[in-house]
Amino acid sequence: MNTNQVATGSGRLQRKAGLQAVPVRRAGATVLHAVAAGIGVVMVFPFLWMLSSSVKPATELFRFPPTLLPSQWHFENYARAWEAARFSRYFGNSVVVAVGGTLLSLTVCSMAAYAFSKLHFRGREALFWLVLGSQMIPGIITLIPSFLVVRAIPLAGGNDLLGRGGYGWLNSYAGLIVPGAGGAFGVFLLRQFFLTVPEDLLDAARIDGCGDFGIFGRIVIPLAKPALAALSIFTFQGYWNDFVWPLVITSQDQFRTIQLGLIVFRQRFTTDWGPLMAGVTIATAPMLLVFLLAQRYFVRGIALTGIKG
Amino acid sequence: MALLFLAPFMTLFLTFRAGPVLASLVLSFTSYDGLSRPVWAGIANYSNVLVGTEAATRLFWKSIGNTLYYTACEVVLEMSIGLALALLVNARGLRAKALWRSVYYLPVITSAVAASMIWLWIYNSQTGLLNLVLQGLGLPKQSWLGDPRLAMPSIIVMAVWGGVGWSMVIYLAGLQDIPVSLYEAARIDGASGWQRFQYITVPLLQPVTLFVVIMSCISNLQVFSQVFVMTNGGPLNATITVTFQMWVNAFRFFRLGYASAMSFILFLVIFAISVLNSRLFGGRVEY
Repeated sequence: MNTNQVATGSGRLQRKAGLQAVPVRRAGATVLHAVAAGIGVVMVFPFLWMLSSSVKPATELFRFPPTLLPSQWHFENYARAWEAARFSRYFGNSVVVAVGGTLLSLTVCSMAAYAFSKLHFRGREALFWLVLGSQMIPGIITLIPSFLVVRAIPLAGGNDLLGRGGYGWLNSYAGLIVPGAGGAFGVFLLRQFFLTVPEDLLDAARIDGCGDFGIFGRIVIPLAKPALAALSIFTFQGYWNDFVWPLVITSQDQFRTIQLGLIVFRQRFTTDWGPLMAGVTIATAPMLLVFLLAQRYFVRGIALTGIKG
Repeated sequence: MALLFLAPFMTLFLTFRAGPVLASLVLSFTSYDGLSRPVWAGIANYSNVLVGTEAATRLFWKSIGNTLYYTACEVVLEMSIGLALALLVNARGLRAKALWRSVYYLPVITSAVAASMIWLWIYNSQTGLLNLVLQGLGLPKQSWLGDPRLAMPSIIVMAVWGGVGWSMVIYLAGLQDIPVSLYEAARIDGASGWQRFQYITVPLLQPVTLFVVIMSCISNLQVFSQVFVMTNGGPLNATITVTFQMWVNAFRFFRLGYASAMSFILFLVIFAISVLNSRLFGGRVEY
């Protein structure tokens, strides 16, 4: 049987079929919910175990049989984690980098998306496809050259005008923020959204004497709030969770982000799983919070663009 | 005017995306330690990576094998479990769909490092949860990440946990695009549930599957963080991957040209696999 025949052969019956109520058997529904809940437990359990381990007294971590709830709640693991190994500094760095990176990326990408959707210039389509095509190139290939570029930023970190002699943007917020801000994905997402803004609206504004910056700032951006919300979440996630780039360009404790902090942490607390899990909880909490507050943007954004986390 | 709007983005794009791709190609033909001047090396890096006699060559081939093994398992599992989860969440009788969807997606937003740390604790050979469960069942404890046969499968299980939420969401979007009328028509023609799945759902989801497979291959072939955190490539190099080898050579040994050649070979592998996927899963779908 092929789908073509299924579709055309019974076209007349479609309406009738639509009216037929499909009986959902209670037993079937129970099984369905049991399966859904079972899988849910598997997906959530590692998080519960993390939380549980982070508040257990050390002796209980190794007890057999294992328990999910501690006999006494030991929140001091969080205090130990927060004070140890400059964890608060790592956390602060991550906040600066993720917020700064998100703001920069949104600005840069929305401007480019405006040009690609609402302005007319020669070679627009070709340039857009070049940008879009770059998404198929594995990011890892740019790692070494990007490192060299960041090290050779002129007049930064002791460099001369030609970018020699110093460390450029290595070990700096700029180095952590700027290279990641020009993502093709953001331009693509926003351009798709901007295309839906009617030309008439823009023309009306032009007649009223509004320039391109006015149209961009007062009409297009306010209309694109849902798309900007989705993009800002993904960008924040990208910066917050990133590991490879900060690993490569920071060598000083002062500029380490929280993901690197976890590694430092592990070396320090080797087998002390209580504070370690408290640290992991602290590092995970901001993303969980953002997710809970903005789930619908997450799901819509992924379905729209297929970004892979 | 367009130039003003484009300038910031294009500057970043050319400096940190397009430029580096070309630079990487050039670097891969040089010998460069990051400090002294790069020296033209011809194809020496490529021949050293692929057919050299040094231990690094054997390691590279080992890492290629590991990476392909990891990716194959990941892609198949992410695709099939992701589809199963999407069908489950999309099922007509299921209530609180948004809740289940969010719960299954939760691991995706967790960073690779944090997820690895959690699983490091679960897999702990002495007192990890998994071994405590085995102990309870009267089974021998396993050294999950310390045994060369178990290390990679253990990482794969963790990565599947962290990745299926993504493919589920993509499949969900695909499922919602399939006209309900097709299913109803098939039902009237007497098609069973399995037949409807086989002859409607699977063929109509083909473009989605192609997308899932290609994106999943691209991201999994670059696996790094999990390996870095959980096993550091060990035990006995059972979990070294191409990206891990590249990182070691570039930022521990400062063989930047040599590492660039590795990254370009990985790029070619990814490209070839993407083309192969398009052939396998591509093709037009007609309603």
